[in-house]
Amino acid sequence: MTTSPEERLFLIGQAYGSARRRRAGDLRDATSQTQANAILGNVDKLEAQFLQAATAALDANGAAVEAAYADASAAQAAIEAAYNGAVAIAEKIGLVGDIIGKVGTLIKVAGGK
Amino acid sequence: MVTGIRRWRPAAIVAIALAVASCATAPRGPAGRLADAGLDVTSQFGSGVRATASALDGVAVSEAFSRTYESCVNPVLACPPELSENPNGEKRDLLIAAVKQRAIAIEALGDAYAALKAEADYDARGAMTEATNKAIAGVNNFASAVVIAAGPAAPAAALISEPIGKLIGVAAGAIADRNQKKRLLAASAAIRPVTQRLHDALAVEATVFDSLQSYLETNQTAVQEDLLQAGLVSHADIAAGLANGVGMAAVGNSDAIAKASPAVRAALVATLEASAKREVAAEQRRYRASLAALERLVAAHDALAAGQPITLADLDRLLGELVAALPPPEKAK
Repeated sequence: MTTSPEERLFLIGQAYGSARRRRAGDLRDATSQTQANAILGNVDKLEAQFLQAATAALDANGAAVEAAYADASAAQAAIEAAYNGAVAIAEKIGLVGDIIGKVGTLIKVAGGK
Repeated sequence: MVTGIRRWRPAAIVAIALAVASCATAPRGPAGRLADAGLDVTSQFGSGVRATASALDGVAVSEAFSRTYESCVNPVLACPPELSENPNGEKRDLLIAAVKQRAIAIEALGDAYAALKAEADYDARGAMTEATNKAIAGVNNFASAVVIAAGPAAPAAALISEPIGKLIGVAAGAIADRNQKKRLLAASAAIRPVTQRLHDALAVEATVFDSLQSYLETNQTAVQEDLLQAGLVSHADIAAGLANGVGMAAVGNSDAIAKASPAVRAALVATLEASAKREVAAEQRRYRASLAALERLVAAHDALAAGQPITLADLDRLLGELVAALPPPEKAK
């Protein structure tokens, strides 16, 4: 099934929204400045991706777009599972960092680039 | 979606309106009602869009507080944080400019309806052509920005990609005709494609508007939670709103109770998040109701041109929905 530009934008917004909502808790749990910088940097990058996506077309279609959407969805599901389980902050930071690359790919291929 | 003569040039539409004018009854009353409805719709829609731009503008300030507080509350971390500034200000400003462009287009259309109202109510000639041309320019600018953002291959892009021509020559002359009936019909015919185009462009952007509301909700709720956590605002307001909603009054020391009880704090924060989600849904409904109201306006223009009675009951209902969905004055953004 082909995803719509609306579904792609929603997923990108969801990736940013969940990271932003969890930022305060993550910073409370951070054990080093390096972790804190990674937490802030991850949220900033996801916000930048959402702001870019909100003013861009995400209307290209094809297998690469669907694969990118599926990858980003799976990454978001992994994040949700980690936050619902007993996972250490370092792993959570890594999972949020992972989705940035996948969302970036989705924006690139869905934008026809 | 309204279909029909959206691709026609205003000059052609005005010519048809003039042909109909010879047999139509004097449209002053119906044209005045149509103009009133146009003013109401554009005013409500414009204020909603301006509020979104203003709320986006406020994110930079609330984010400065949030990222500093969230870092400084952990004694292990640098205070202020090493990454003390959010780097997305420029991107956010671009988005704000895009949202303001919608408001400018909506308000320019409102000015055209105001000129139509002046024509209908006071037989006041002169401002109509200028106001309509400004509305055409505003809507053309907005529509071209939408096409760039949505992409020329987007399904609806074909509806809005060709700019509407400005009123010149015969079309402008008809609007300045000495016969008021002819002028009103010509003015209505000139405004109609602008209203249609604005509707089509805003419809293409509906999903973006939805996601912007969610973005704003996320940021607003996060900073509210930080303010509560910091003890800078009282839990009592949330408790009072909640209690009031179920016909009760909160106790005077509800803030102290919340501060002493993690369970109560968590429950009040959950209330805050649910309330924010409701506001997002209300804004999204408002946007859809505004689009539907623009469709009804186009239908009313068609009825006026055909000499048929204009029924605005549907439009009144939609306007009622718009007003009902507005936040109470103290919470207006």
